[in-house]
Amino acid sequence: MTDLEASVQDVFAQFFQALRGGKFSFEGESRLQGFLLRTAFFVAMDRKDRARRHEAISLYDPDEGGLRFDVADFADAVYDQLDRQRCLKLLAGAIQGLNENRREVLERTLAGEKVRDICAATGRSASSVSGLKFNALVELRKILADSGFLEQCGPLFGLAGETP
Amino acid sequence: MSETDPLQAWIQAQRPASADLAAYEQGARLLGEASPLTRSYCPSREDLIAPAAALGVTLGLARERHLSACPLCRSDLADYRDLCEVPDGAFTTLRARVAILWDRAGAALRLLESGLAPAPAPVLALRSEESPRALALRAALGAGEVVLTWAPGSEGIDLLAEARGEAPSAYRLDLTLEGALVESRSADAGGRVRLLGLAPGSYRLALVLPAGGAPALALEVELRA
Repeated sequence: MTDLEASVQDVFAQFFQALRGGKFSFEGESRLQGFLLRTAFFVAMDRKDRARRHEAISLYDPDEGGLRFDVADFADAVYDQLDRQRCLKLLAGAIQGLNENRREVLERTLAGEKVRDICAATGRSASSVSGLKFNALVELRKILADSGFLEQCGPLFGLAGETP
Repeated sequence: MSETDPLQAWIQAQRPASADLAAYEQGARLLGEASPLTRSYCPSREDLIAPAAALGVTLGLARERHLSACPLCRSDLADYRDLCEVPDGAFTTLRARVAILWDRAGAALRLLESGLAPAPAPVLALRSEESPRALALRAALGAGEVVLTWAPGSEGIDLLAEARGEAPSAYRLDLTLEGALVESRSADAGGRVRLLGLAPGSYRLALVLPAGGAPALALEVELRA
C-alpha cells in the first residue's frame, strides 16, 4: 500500500469514526468537505512529522545560504506559552552574547545542522567546528548558570533537578 | 557501519575536564530541547488552520507573529492551502482522492438519510490480497461476511461475490445501473456469484435472501476499467 493510499484510508477511517462517535453530523456538503479536508491535512501532517523523525532536517536553506529563521525573532514569537517564550528569549540573548564564530555554530545547531553540515556550509574543518561547538556549549551553559536561567528555566528544557 | 561523529572523536582526542564535559552535555541537551524543530513552540495544527474569528484577537495575533518567524509552520500552512485551493499543488493527488471520498461519503449519507441503505459500517475497497489489479470490499452479511472482488477482465470488468464464514450461501445478487436491472444471478452451492464483462459505471448491488423482502445488503460500487 502506498503512503497516499494509506493516507486516504486514514482519512476515511477517521471520518467514519467521527460519524459513529457522534462527532460529525451531516449538515450540508460544504461542511462535509471542510471536515474531510481538515482531516486530510491532519493525516498528512502526521505523516510529515513521522517522516521528519527518520531524516535529518535543517532550517538552513542551502540555496539562500542562510538561516530560514532568526533565533531572537523566533523566541519572541513562541505561540501561547509565556513561560517558554520568556525562557527562549533569555536563551537567545545568551547565544547573541557569544563571539561570532561560536554564535554561528550554535545557531546552525539549533536549526538542525550537524557538525558535518556546518563544515560543508562554512568551509571549516571538522576539528575546528567540533572545538567551536564544544566550547560554545560550555560557555553558554556557564552564562546561563550565572544568570539564574537554569533555576528558572531548566525544567522547561529537560534540565530539572540538575545542579547549575 | 556508521561513521564516527566528528565531535565525539574530537572530545575523545582532547580529553576535556570532566566539569567541562558535563557542562557541554547539559548545554547540548538544552539546545536540543530549545530547537524550533521540536515544534514545542508552535500552534497546534488545529490552531494553525483555525479561522481567525475562532481564535480570538490575542491568539490570532500570536499566530500571525509566530507564522512570520517559523518556516516550519509556514510550510505546513502552505500544504493546507495547497490541499484546499491549489489544483496543482503538492497534494493534488491526495486532494483528488479526498474529492472522491467526499462524493462517496455524501452519497452514502444521502442513502442513509433516505433509509434505503440500512447497511453495516461502510467499508473502503482495498487492493485485493490475491491480485494487485483487483479491488476488494468486505461487508457483514448475517453472521459472516460477503467479499466483493472486481478486476479488469478480457471483455470488461469481472466481479465475484463470495459469502464467507457464517454468511448465508443462498442468495441472489441483483445488479442495477442507473436504475435499470442489468444482472440478477443466484449464488452457486459455494455461495459465489461471478459476473463477467461488466461495463464501467456506478452500480447498486443488492443481495436478496430466499425469503425475499428487502435486500439483506445493498451497496453502491463504482467499477472502473
